[in-house]
Amino acid sequence: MATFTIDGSEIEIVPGKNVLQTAIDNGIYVPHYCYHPGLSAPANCRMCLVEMDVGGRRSLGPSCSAMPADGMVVDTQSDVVKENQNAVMEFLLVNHPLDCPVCDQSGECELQDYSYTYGSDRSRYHEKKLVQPKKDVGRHVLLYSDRCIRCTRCIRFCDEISGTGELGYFNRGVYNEIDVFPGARMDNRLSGNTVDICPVGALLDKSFLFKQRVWFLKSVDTICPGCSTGCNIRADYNNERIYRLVPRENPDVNEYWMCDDGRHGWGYVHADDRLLFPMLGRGEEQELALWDVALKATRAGFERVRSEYGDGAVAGIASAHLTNEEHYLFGSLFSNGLAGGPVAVHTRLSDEGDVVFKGGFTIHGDKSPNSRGARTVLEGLGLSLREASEIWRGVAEGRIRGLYLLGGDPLASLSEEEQTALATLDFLVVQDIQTRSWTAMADVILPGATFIEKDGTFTNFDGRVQRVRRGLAPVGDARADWEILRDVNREMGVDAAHDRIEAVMADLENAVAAFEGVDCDDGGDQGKPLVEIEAAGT
Amino acid sequence: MPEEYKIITDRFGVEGLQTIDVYRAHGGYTAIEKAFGMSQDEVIDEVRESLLAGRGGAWFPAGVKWGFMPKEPREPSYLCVNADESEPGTFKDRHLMEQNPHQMLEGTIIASYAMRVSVAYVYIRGEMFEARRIVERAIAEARAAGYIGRDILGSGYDLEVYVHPGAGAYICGEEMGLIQSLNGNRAEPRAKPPFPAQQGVFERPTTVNNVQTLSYVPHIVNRGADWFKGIGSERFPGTFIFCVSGHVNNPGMFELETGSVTMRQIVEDFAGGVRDGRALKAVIPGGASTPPMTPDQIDIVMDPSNFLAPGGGDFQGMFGTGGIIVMDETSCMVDALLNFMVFFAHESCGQCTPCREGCPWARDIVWRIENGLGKPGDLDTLLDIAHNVGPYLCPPSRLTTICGFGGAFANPIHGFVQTFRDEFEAHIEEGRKPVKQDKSIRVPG
Repeated sequence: MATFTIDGSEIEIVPGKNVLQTAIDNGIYVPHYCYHPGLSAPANCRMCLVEMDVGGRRSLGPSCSAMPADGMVVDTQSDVVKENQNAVMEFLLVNHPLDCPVCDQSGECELQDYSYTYGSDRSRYHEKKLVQPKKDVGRHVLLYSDRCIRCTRCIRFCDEISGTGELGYFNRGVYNEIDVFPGARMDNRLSGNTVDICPVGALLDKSFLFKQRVWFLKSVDTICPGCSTGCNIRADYNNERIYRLVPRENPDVNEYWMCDDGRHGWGYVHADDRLLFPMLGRGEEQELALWDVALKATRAGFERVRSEYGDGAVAGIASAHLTNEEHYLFGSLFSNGLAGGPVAVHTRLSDEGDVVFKGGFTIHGDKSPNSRGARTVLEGLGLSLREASEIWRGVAEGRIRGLYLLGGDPLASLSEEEQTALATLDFLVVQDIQTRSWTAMADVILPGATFIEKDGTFTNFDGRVQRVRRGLAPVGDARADWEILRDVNREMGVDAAHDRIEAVMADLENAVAAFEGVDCDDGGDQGKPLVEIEAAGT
Repeated sequence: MPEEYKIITDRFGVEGLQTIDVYRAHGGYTAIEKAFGMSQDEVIDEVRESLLAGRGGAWFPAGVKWGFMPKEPREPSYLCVNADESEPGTFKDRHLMEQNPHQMLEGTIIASYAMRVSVAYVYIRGEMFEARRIVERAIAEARAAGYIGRDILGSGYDLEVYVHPGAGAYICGEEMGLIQSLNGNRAEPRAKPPFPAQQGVFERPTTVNNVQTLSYVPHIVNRGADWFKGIGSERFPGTFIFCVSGHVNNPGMFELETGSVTMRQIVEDFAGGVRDGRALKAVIPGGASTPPMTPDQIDIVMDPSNFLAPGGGDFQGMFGTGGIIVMDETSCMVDALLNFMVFFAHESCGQCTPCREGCPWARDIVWRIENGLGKPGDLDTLLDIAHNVGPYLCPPSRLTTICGFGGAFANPIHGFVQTFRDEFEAHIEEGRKPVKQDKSIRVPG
């Protein structure tokens, strides 16, 4: 076993892992700017310099590009190292504006943080500062060049991860600037990541610009609902609204990244057309109702159709935008109270298919976050899933007279034939988040919650079960979909004693073989992989 | 008075030497035939045996460097001729190319053969239009004569030689900067390892040699390692070209045996002494990045081994590139340092934080002092900046920057401010120059 020493402690060498990352992974922090674990290491910021002794030769060198060698002795705390950290901080601030009070990065800025830890509390710089221009570099991104410390993370991101190469380094010396190449715009679909990896406030997200001081934000770790990739994200919110979504690290899913579609795709959460209250009646006669009344109407409607046309006349279309737990309750409803009715899952696919980037990041063509989970859970409960088209045909041909339609997809659409078919139903329950052209056809509207308003889990394309967490309360009188489904179950006489999401998770783990041993509640917290679902379940 | 010892400048001035016929009439391209009669390793051994050291300033043994290249290359490998001579005060490589291009080319071909490289690039500084034109013509002549191309002299060895003009940047003369530039990237030196012999041009094994180093190679092959070792000093044998400029009566190039003359002899005997009978104030020994020497220090024998850098000698200074700049008593040292700092701030590639921010900061402070706006404490700040990039004459292992540029601009700051501190302080206190400057330019003859 090859080992080396950092600050006196002997550490095993992990092949391919540099000195800096090894130190950090072992609880010894080495400050750095240009190094990012997802990118190459040019060693240009000079902040991570440590003293390294190999075979009696001691030298000051960058820990980000140095690989540990057997017997190497690393000192991250020597006077020479500290002197250099102090000097680099001074050099970086020479031309950096002191505009922290108006800078979005303030509060989560590595220049600020390191200044406190490694820098000086005063400046010796009496010359004129160099002021570089502000630039609009892309659809989502602004570049305030005067704040840039030229770590080149953004350039390397566009070269190595997105593979689009729009950013370059222009001019020379202290006059060098990051900019887009002439005629180019940084409009690649991963561009928002450059804002995340910028250690200072140079790259800024237009949608977040001047919106909120970061120390007011509250955060919740959750999963992006934009596609079946299942990017681990952190939702930052305050005053009952989302301010931004940023990626969390998960080497098995999204590494450090997320796409702009997902990052900026949360506008519907605060849209004006959100369904706020349960409603009864069709067309212009729709009226607001209390939940009790709506649930009773739901039961009455389904029972009437079943008694008139038989058990098979009430169908369900589940939505791959809802969680595993919600599918468990939906499945339980169609195994018990509404047993005998055909069930299908609605999944939205984009025409472009999977979009794979140079660094391996993939935007999946399946725009539903839980297609795999929906199928696994429903089939795991013993239901034989139909194609959605089969259900629609049944509706159009009059064999299906009642329908429970789950929504939750902000971009849901139905074809004209499907909408015409809906109008012929005797009884339609729509559980959704927004008003659609077909919500007016519903006899009962049950307002559900968006991803940020509820707890649960999604299963991504790869079969990984990941935790979705509630940050905001559902709007108006809307409820988390699992609560609605639980109540519908109870109303239909099915035993559903789940007062907390954890209870649903526990039942799901017991009832569906593929989820056996999967700790839904506590598994995906730090992006750690959960036990893979067995093939038997799918 | 010692004499010049001319090896590589011997035929300078011969009419038509730039053409292959005249070069051959003076014994040219005989070494190549001899070398091709030897095995590659024999050529490398001969050069290693001769102790020929790199004349770019680092004085690393050329034969050892060649030995780092793969013996049985499985992929293309390259030789780069570093003709990006940009160190202020240095002009030897330019003349070696302009006056005797075939000598360098013959050395290049022999070195290429010894290292089994498939392509050699002559990276010429962008401003050297004349040298580029001459070298390109020499390459065409050599190709026509069968010294470049396929199956050279029936040996089965193939070689292509190309000229690559730089766009005019000091940093392109740095080994990795040159390679990056040749690769089509910004000339930003990258950290070593991997070394060029592992990963250089186009990520393939590469060796970079200076024009002057390669110019010795035909002579060493022809006359043998023992002959070369017998010239000059024991540790760094051979000759060196000193380029003297500044306030002297007879500026120019002088090829002298290493370890044979003192700096005083170069200035007074070869360069004709300080002009107008004025007193000597300072001598910059080897280009702008070497700290200045004072008149009481110039009795040192000019051999790299006597200087701390590169020879580890007693004298706390740098030997440098042979670009000797002589300054008489009318020179303002603040002005001189400002001149260098403007140059370095302009040439820093801007990659590493200390160099990118430190150069212009130092430049601005020196500018204030020179223009009567100096403040108490400026000199300490200035020395701190230099120290934070690289302590005075520190080895590369103590620099805070990727390449040697950090040291190149820090050393003159240390040197000028420490040696002429009184003059700097007088500027700050009195807000004016204590020296009456004479900045006239005179062309000898």
